[in-house]
Amino acid sequence: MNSLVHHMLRASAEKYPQHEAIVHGSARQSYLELWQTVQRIARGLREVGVERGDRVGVLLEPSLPLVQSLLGVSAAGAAFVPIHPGLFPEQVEHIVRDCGMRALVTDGVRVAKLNESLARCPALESVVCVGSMPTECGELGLHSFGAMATATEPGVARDECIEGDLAAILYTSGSTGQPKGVMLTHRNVLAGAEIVSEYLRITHDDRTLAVLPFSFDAGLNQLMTALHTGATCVLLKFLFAKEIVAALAKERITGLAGVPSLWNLLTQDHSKLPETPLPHLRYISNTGGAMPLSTLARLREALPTTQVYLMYGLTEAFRSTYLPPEELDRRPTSMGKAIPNTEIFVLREDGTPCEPGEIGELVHRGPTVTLGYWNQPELTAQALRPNPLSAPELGEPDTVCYSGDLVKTDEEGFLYFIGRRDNQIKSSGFRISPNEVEAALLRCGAVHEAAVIGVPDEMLGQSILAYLVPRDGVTDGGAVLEPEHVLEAVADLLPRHMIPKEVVIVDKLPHTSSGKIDYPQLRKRAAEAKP
Amino acid sequence: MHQKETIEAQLQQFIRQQFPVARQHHVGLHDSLLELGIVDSLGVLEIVTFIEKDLGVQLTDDELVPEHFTSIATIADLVSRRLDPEGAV
Repeated sequence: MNSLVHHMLRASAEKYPQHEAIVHGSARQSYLELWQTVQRIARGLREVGVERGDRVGVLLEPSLPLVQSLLGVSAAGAAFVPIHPGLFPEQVEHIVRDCGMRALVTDGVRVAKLNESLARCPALESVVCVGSMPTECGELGLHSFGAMATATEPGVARDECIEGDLAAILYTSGSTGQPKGVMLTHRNVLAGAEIVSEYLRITHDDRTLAVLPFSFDAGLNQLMTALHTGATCVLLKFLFAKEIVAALAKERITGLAGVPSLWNLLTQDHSKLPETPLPHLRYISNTGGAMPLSTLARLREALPTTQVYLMYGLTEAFRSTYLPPEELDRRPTSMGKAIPNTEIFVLREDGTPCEPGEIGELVHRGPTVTLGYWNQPELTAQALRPNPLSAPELGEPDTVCYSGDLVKTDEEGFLYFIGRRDNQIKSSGFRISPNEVEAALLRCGAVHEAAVIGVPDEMLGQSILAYLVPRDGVTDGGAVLEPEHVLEAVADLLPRHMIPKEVVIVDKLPHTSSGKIDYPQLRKRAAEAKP
Repeated sequence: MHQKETIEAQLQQFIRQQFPVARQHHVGLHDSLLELGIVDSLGVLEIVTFIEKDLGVQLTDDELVPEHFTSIATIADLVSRRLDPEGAV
């Protein structure tokens, strides 16, 4: 019986031992080889002090060791925390500190860059290093991943955990503050893999191309879906869209998951998508924002026999809805309906269900509802609440997830996205908290007040627009607040996807009667400024 | 030679303007844009678009390889070879 994340791998290794499990460039491992490596990593992690329930970070570029580490942490009885390889040391430090990380798996180059940041993380004891080892690592224990992966003693997987235990933490931004860690149980991860492989009809004959990071719920789900079904997962780090197209052809890929910015890249002139025959590509799936209709049209023209699945999910409930491909022509702007074994409510403020056409909040009920945010009971209580539609006779209601997304349904129950309840920005598939960007802007010289909003952007979905008020005397004194200088300074504090695309200097910001920044007013102003 | 220097200056200005992190790190002609994490796949597309639209050089598919985009100098090499195929670089 599969109750833990690594059980999916174990089962596939029993069923398809010689079948290709993961591929990265010329590096390949069969299911049996992967399972054996994962058990050795699990033993190695236990030997360096990792215990049941510990959080272990994995900060690696797409590679075999990335997959081996995630599964190895699970098999060691600990919880894995995938960290996006593009994050800056400051962001990595926040994650390591926030979840009280015990060990971190990364590479030698990153250890050198992160040395100072990691020294400020009291719970961190060990660094497991892939590839060449750095000469020193401060007070931290430094261990070789390679030595663990190739140890001669047989590995061992630990099965003390049960399905309700913590399997992983995914860091994601909300509308306020620093990124928060969404806690996934083993049950959440398994249910996500079972449900998605069911509606995408994935079997061990499938070969999926993983270009989304595993720190992102849809990316992680793609890997887990492959492990669950015994399919082959091909990992790719790319710079040019044509590299994706070349990999689709060379590896005879049958399924590709992406976000809108990826599809925009793939439909650019240089991608070679239209002239490359891809007869094996059975489906593509979009998540992380609405696919622009013009992009969708170009993709369908280039890939006439490929099915397109439009999906929607939020990290707090992993995966929520999808639009079956046969509905695409009738309702190309719909998010579809609930995924299997899941119920989606559209609720009014008072908790009663909306009529078709009426706008309400999307509320998710099902086995992928997570445990909420690590060490944030108040924020968790806002997102995860008792099911308001539960019959009183059942006693304590079950927990449902309030998405913060406003939606409506049509007469046939298909869902349509309207907007966010709060001010959260979504750019290039990333959730971005305006607060976090504003806090960084306030550290950039003579900035008195900062407000950022998302504005429509063809490539990114949304791009970030920042309004800044200079400190007193800055405009009429000698010094001038230059947007360029602010962008330069903020570039050191934030990863690229969080840097504003445009900065506007203003005398003052609109405020609500309670003194908060009036974001709707700013959005209106931005919309009116556009031609 | 003169032309290549002009192209380098144009590219440097564009990259510093478009990628604040490049400006912050005072990225020079030979610094690695890719290893420093300054440019990702969307960033490369912006640079390609600049070369094609603003510098008027249509790049071939064979030219779109990471080696040509490692630094401002390598991009300038690529563009100036195309503008002046006869000239010694």
